[in-house]
Amino acid sequence: MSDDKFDEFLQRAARSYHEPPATPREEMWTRIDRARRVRRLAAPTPRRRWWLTVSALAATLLLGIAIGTRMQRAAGTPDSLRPTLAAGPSAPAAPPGAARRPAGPASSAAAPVRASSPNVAGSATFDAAAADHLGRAEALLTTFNTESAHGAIDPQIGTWAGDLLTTTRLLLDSPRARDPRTRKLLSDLEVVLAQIAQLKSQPDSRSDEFDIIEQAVRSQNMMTRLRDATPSGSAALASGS
Amino acid sequence: MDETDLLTRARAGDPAAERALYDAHVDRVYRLAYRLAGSDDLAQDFTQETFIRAFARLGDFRGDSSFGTWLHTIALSVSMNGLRKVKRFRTREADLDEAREHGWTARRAEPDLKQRLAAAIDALAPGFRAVFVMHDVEGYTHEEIGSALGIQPGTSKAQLSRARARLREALSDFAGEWTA
Repeated sequence: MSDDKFDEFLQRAARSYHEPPATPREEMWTRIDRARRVRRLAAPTPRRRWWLTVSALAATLLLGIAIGTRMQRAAGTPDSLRPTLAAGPSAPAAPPGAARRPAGPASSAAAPVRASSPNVAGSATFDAAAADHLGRAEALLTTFNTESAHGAIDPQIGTWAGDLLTTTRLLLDSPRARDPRTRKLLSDLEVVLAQIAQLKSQPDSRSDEFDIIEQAVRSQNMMTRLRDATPSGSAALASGS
Repeated sequence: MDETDLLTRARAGDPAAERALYDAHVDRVYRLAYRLAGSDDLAQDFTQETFIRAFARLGDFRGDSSFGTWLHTIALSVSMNGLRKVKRFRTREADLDEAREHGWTARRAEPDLKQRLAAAIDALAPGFRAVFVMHDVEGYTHEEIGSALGIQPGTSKAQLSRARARLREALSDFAGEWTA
């Protein structure tokens, strides 16, 4: 058998391999256009980047003050009123630093635990703040979904999203934001909030822009993730305040 | 308006120029993606991602090759990486897919030539399959294939030759079809 004959045969026969249909030009162009608009919205412009940086700095400062105040309050609580900080019979011995504290019935026992309490208090504060924030974000997205279904959204929603966007950035920048699941949720939320906040400068936003946002919320399973993240955190907030 | 003008306008963000570039190249990109993927959904995904990436990186295109060649480099990278992911997913998903991977070696009851050929092409290594599909099925030159895959035209020729040899071996039962 000749190689040339086989090659000719192969080329003839292979034309039917995965034979493509007509190119769905318009369908694909619509989706390309939409995807590019979503990506553009998600990418911060220089002006927005500046605004986000300033907001994040201001918010970080506020969070720092809030955490500091809360820790101070926790540290100032009488030992007898803090069962979690009181040491039981199996408590470790006081470190050398504790010996310098004024002598008292509870002071030597409470000191070692108090040494680690700022971390515990800080994490609890972050968890509470994150849960509270995610609860607000859920409320915003629910409102957005309801209003966008009617083809128009209240401009206040854009402002609301802008505020939440600042807090989202602040939480993401917090050194306490270590849980990868929470970080991912906050990152995804940031993109969606940026898109909604952008709508406030475009009062005549069209329904396809709403679709893009809704699609992003749906595809990332955002509502379920927010609901999952909210209940336990809310409890923490309630107990922490 | 020639392609250089279109590219200049597209870089400046002119949507009409982007659309004109898309119209000029989408058929070839989609056809190639379809031939490699064998599925409309995947071919559409790969084509869309190719154009999204191309428009996003238009500033990086220096014109060392033609825009079409550059676009095909992106299309092949997107398609082959995409297919790798799909294959991994399907392999995990069911043993049935694994059986299909090796379909042509596991003899089936009298499959016709078309089926055997398709299965044999599917079973080629990704690089060989890309060269074979581009040259023998879609009619690209070895120069075009070399540029798109980042290999020398001579390497493309060698890979095509090896791909054909494997196909010939896989289709030996049907020797009468081409010797007749």
